[in-house]
Amino acid sequence: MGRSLKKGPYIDKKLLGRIIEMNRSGGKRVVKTWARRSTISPEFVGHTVAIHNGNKFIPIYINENMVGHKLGEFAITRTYRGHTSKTGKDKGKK
Amino acid sequence: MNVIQMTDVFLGRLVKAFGIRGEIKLHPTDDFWEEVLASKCLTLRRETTDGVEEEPVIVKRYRPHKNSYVVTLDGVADRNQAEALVGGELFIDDEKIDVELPKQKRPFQIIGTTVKDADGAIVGEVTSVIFSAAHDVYEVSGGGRVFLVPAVPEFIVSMDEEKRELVIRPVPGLMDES
Repeated sequence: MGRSLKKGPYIDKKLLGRIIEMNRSGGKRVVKTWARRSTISPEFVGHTVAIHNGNKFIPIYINENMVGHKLGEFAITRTYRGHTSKTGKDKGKK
Repeated sequence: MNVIQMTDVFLGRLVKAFGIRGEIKLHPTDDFWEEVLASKCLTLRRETTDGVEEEPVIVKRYRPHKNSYVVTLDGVADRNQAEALVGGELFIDDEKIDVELPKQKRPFQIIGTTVKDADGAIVGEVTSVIFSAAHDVYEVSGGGRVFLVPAVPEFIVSMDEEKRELVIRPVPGLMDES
C-alpha cells in the first residue's frame, strides 16, 4: 500500500536541511547520507548526494528526472557476477 | 599455453547450445557491444585437456535473446559442434578493433585512464566502473586512497582518449574516501 497523501512524501529532515543550507549559501559539496528511503525533492536538483549502498557511498548527481524517486533506487546494493557454470561447480567440489 | 594479453577485451562466454542448427547462447560481459559481433578479429579461447586453445572465429549471424545473444559461428552447423564450444570465451584485441566503437563508454575504454584535476595534477587512475540507474560512476585509486567520481559533465571536464587522460572538476567531499 502506498504512503498516505495526507502525510506527503518522506524526505529526510537532516539531508533536506543541508541541501537547503547549500542552496541558500550557493555552495556545492558532496553530502553523505544513509537515508536511502528518502524521496528526492526538487531542492536536490543539481546537488551530488553520496548514497550508502551498505558498503560504500556512491556519489549520485541529482537531475530533475529523479525527483519523486527514492535515493536508494540509484545506489544498487547487489552485484551480479553471473552464475557458476556446471563445470565450475564440479571444480569447486574437488 | 597461450597467455591472455592485457589488451584483450573479454566480450562474453558461450554458455549453452541453442536449438539443433548450431546456434550457441552468448552471455555478454559489461565490455560487450552488439556491433563487435561483426568484427573479423574475434578470438575464441577455451580450456581443453591440453591447455588453453585459442582460435579465430567469425560470427555469421546473431540475434538478441532475453539478456543474451544467440550466435551462429562460421563452420558450426549442428548441435554437437555447438556443444563442443560451450565454455569458450570470446575476446577481441583492443588494438585491432575493426568495427565502430560503442557510443556509451565501456569499462575497457575507461579502466587504466589517468585522472587529473583541473590544475593538471595527477590524482589517480580509474580502476573500476560502477553502473548506476542514474549514471556511471568511476572508481579512482591513487595516493593511497580510493574515491568515486560520477561520470557526468558537471565533474568530467574533458577526456582525451588517445592519451588516456581524464580531467575532473572535484567539489569538496568528492575525493574523500568512499
